[in-house]
Amino acid sequence: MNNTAVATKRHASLSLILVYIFVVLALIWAVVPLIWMILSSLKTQAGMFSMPPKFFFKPTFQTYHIMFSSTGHFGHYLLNSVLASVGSTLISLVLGTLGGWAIARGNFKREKDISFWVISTRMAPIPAVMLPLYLLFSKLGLIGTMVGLIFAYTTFNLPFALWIMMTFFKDIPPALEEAAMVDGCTKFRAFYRVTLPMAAPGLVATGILCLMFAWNDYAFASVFTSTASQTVPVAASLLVSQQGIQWGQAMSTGTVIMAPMVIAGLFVRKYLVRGLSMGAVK
Amino acid sequence: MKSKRLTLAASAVLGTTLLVAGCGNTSGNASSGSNTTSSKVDASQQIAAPFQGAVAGLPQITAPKGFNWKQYSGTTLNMITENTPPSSALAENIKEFEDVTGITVNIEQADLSTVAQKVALDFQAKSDKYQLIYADPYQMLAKYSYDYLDLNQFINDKSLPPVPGGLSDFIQSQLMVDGYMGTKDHLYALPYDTPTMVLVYRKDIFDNPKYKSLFQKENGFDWTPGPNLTWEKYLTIEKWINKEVKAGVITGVQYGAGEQAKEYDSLQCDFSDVLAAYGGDYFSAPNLGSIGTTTPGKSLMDSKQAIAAATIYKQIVDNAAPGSTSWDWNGLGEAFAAGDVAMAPEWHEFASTFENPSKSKVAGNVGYAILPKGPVRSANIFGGTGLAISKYATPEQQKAAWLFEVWATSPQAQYMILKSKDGGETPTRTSVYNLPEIQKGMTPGTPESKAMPNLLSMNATLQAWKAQNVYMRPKIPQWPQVDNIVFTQLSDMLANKQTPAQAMQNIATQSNQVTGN
Repeated sequence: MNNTAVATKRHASLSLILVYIFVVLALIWAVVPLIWMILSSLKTQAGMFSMPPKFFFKPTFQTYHIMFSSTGHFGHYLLNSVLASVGSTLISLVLGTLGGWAIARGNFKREKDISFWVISTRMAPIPAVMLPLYLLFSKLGLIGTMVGLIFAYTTFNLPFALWIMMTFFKDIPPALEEAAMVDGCTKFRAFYRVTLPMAAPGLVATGILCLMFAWNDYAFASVFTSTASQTVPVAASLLVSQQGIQWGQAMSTGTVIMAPMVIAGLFVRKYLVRGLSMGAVK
Repeated sequence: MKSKRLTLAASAVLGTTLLVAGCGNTSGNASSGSNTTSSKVDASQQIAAPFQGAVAGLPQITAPKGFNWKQYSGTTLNMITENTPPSSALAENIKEFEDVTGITVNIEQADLSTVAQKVALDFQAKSDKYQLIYADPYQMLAKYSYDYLDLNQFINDKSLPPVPGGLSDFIQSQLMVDGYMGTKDHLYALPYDTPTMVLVYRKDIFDNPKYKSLFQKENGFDWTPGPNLTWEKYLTIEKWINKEVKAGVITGVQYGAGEQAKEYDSLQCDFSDVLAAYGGDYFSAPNLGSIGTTTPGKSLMDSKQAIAAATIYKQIVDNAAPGSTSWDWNGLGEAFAAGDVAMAPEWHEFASTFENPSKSKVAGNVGYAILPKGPVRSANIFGGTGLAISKYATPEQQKAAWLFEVWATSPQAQYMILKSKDGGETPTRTSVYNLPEIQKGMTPGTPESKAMPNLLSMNATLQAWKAQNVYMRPKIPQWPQVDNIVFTQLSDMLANKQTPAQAMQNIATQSNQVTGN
């Protein structure tokens, strides 16, 4: 082996080591806080703040027990979160898919301006849209209702879904739909039978992202909900009060908020990666 | 016998303290604890409301003869409030009110900034979504007083239930700051909660004879917290404890003091105690901290007093536990409960946390005193809030809301809040403090103090509520912006980005811009 080859091999090994170091650091950065949160949720308050911290201890599920007891009302908040995020995601996916397909396949003036206007509504800072939405919802009697919250979430999920799905559809050759129409399909049937299945990974990725946005939202939920319609992030904020923070409850609530999204992400990660790499993000 | 005499003497001192303390107007009803109401109310025409479990010795909730407590049955009221102990206690006991009136009350709790945001949106939409509002004097009352109903219309309506015990039973300085805005022509809210900053300290450190005598020998004064402590002495004690902890002489704490100096509202509160003690204040107009005004006048923050206060405050924070600049009142409370610091200025209701062995390592070892004084006085910032009714509610909702207001702010309900496991907030009513049971609760070690641990901080708090000791920050509509300027500039000062004089000058200049001066 000549000197150049040896140097190249050394260089490659060094690069690989650096990559591994970077990956390990990134993993520590991302995973340690989550593990810390889960471990803390299983400790007593005194154990949570003991120095040096204990990694081996007798776990207690008391905070989870309190959360799901009849006085904790957590099941109610959880149900509200599920209803609001799933409801908004479904509406956004249906309308966003149809709208995205219409813009991708349509042939009309100022198409680019329209699609940009759609996504620009997603760019508006939340405080800017809060007052007009509140006024509108107030007149419609939607403040504090689940329907109102689903509408509120749809205001930011729909433009996102429409924009993302539009770029997915643009990547699928129109010729496939035309061939289906030659075989006797209507335009909508061609879309439904041919284009939509091909965009399935994109649909899943968009759905997961919409679900995440709605699931994690605090700003809209804090304003548009009332006691009956409060979601989990709002309930979690109540653990910080004038007389301190209920750390144990906060940790277990954080764990429960995170768990469904992590599980959903693991189940659909194949689609997520494919979806994101074939669509707008590529 | 000796202990009996001591108890009697202590009770006498305590009773006198309560009478003089400005726990408000103690003449008449408050001291008697009898079932009296406002002077305008003809007691002979009043009958007790059908609430169960009335506490003897406290003014009862009454209504004119023949009053139908169920006349607004079926009405639903929405109350928006900060997630405070009294609101949790009310929510927990709301059935008592609902059973008597047939009115449904949804109590919605959130953090203060969310409450302020929702109230602002609701008023701008002129919506009747919230009929009952936690009207923080600085974030909400001063800004939106025109959106609240004048409660005098109900107080003067002889066909409605009066304020139990009358307005004179409220702690008067709190009624002023929580209830009025600009003039006393309109009463917008009734006092509902009472947090006030006092000094919390570790008795096991300060009462330790070895530490005490070592300190006295080296510094020439008794370090026991109380009315004679000054901020300069506080700084000396803080530095000395730090030094002795490092030398291994003092054990059981890590630092002399902790502060709530995070770049947040807590920093402004923490600093205001020192500012007012040095004779400084934010603006020049009179009555800023009581009735409030829309025209606060020129900023006084470039005064000599303000600069002196900022100078010593910086030294205090520089020598405090290093976490201080990232702690708000919660962070500081946790550090104190964990045994990290020997003393700290903290809201008095943290007593229930500090005295709870499951949350605190220092339970049973905590002392409470008024805050150190400056060249002018001791200044203990008050952070309480009132309960108000929205002007945009329907007439029927407004009257139903009045019934709730009467119940929720009554001495009976305030007593219930104090005893509630979900509450623990200290009452706004003089008559409650006059109860023998409550007075016993202010002495450490009594069964009453164990049942109501917040009472352990009340001797200091009653001192703090005296007119000469309490500090009420400016009640002006522009306060949220001014608050932001204050804690931002102070934070830069603590980070050594500017001198105390520069920080004060910047606060003055920017505050004048906000207020148009």
